[in-house]
Amino acid sequence: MRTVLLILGSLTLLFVVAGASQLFAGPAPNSCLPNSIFLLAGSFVVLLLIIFFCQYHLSIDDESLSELMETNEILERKLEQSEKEKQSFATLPLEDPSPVLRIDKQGKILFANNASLSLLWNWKKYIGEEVPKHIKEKIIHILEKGKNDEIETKVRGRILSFKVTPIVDEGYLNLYGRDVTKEKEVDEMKSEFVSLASHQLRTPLTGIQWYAQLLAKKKTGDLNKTQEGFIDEILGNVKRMVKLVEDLLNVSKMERGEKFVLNRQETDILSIVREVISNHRREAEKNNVTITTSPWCGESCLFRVDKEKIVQAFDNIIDNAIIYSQDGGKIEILCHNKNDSIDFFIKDYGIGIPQKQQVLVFDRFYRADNAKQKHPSGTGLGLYLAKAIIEKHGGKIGFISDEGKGTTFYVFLPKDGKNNKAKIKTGFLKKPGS
Amino acid sequence: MSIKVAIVEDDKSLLDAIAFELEEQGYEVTKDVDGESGVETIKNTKPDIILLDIIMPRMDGFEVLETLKKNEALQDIPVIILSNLGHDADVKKGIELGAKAYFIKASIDIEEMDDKIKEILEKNDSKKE
Repeated sequence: MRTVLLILGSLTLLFVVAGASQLFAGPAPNSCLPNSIFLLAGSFVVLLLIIFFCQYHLSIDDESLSELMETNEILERKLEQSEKEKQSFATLPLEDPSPVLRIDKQGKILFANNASLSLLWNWKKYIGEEVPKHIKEKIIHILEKGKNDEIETKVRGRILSFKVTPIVDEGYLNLYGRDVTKEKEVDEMKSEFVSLASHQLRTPLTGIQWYAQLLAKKKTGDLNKTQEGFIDEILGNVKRMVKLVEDLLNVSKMERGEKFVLNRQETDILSIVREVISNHRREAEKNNVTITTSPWCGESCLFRVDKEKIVQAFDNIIDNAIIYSQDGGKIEILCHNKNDSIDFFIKDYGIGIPQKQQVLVFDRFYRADNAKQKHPSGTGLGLYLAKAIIEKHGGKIGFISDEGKGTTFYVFLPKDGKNNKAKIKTGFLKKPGS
Repeated sequence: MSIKVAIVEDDKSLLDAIAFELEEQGYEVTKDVDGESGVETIKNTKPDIILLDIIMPRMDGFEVLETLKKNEALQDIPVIILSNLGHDADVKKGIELGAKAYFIKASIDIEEMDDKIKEILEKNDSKKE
């Protein structure tokens, strides 16, 4: 449109200049230009054309303009709405009924919502100040690790659990709190109940066990072969029951946060494992399973361990190897003694663990489908506890398994319980049956 | 001369089982089913060793231990706690109060009792020397 207006404007100017020069100076001799009247009339016509053109186009521009204004209004409204939403979202953490905090890498509080005020009050801290030392140490550690973690703190008798999300690039952490007092109370009650029930169960079990042992020792007279067999059955079942109660108690302890208090003593780790194997020989025979243990590494290996707990861990692993072996199967137990650590391998040729369920094997109460079929009365606590015990000693436990062919469990134990960097010789970790 | 053992255990069934086993092994045994009467018997008989339960009526095992340790004539008698209460805190408390050993009843075979008693008595004697 601009170009058209420019051409028409130039023509008008040309006509007016030419017309005016002829009018005042008279027509040039031999000029081919029309006379001034015609030129002025021409310029008038072109001017009319400009006005017509402009009117036509201006009327279109009006429509565009109104459309434009309408769009502008919509945009402005949307912008306003978005601003409002932005402001409203910005207040979301502020209005959150649970505590939300942002803390920088120096431990300084950058943000605290209304629900955090009682916590800040309890800490006697304001925004901009550093959190208490014990919290600071924990969160700095989390920021260094760069992984989400949880911390707990008590405020006026309430227990707050914070999910801590480190934003490493920005150098701060977001803390999302939750009041877990009620959950803790319920957990505590549940654990207390399990603990009490287990204690109450132990007493009658002790009675059955002791009297059966007195009978088995023929303290009250001779027994015939059948009676001896029956007493053995009673004792076997009582032992199982006692072990179940032990496992339940240990799980209950762990849930109460007691974890394991290790009573470490310098002990020959090989003799512990030998003792466990020897205690299982009878059961293995009953299941028609043979246990081979060679070659043992040296006469003795003194490790600082909690004997009772290590016995429990190996008890559970070897127990599983026997239970899940096929009739007539064998179990091989090997060890590699390194100066500062020891590896054990417990290899069976039993039912194995289905591939898809292998990740769950160490979960509490978890039992693989084929394990449930073969041995319905298991609890799913054995490996969970074994893992907790071995890891508490700074060790590692793992396995490789092929369903239908067998499983090899490996246990790594450091001598002093401090080195948890497992370096296991994997020579023995071939797939069972291969 | 036979070794004198005082058993303080509120569960009559368990009490009779241990007493039976120890008498078979040639020990001289006294039996009490609560802490209070247990302390009385111990005062009167001055046993060589005491097998003590924790959860008992009238006076629990910890109170019995405290009472014994305050009594000069009785404080050196070795005490083995035999309880099914197995929290770490309980074990710690028992040992801190002066017990020589703490065994969970359900985890101990009755025939082991003789060995355990002799082991504690030997340790105790070697310390005295």
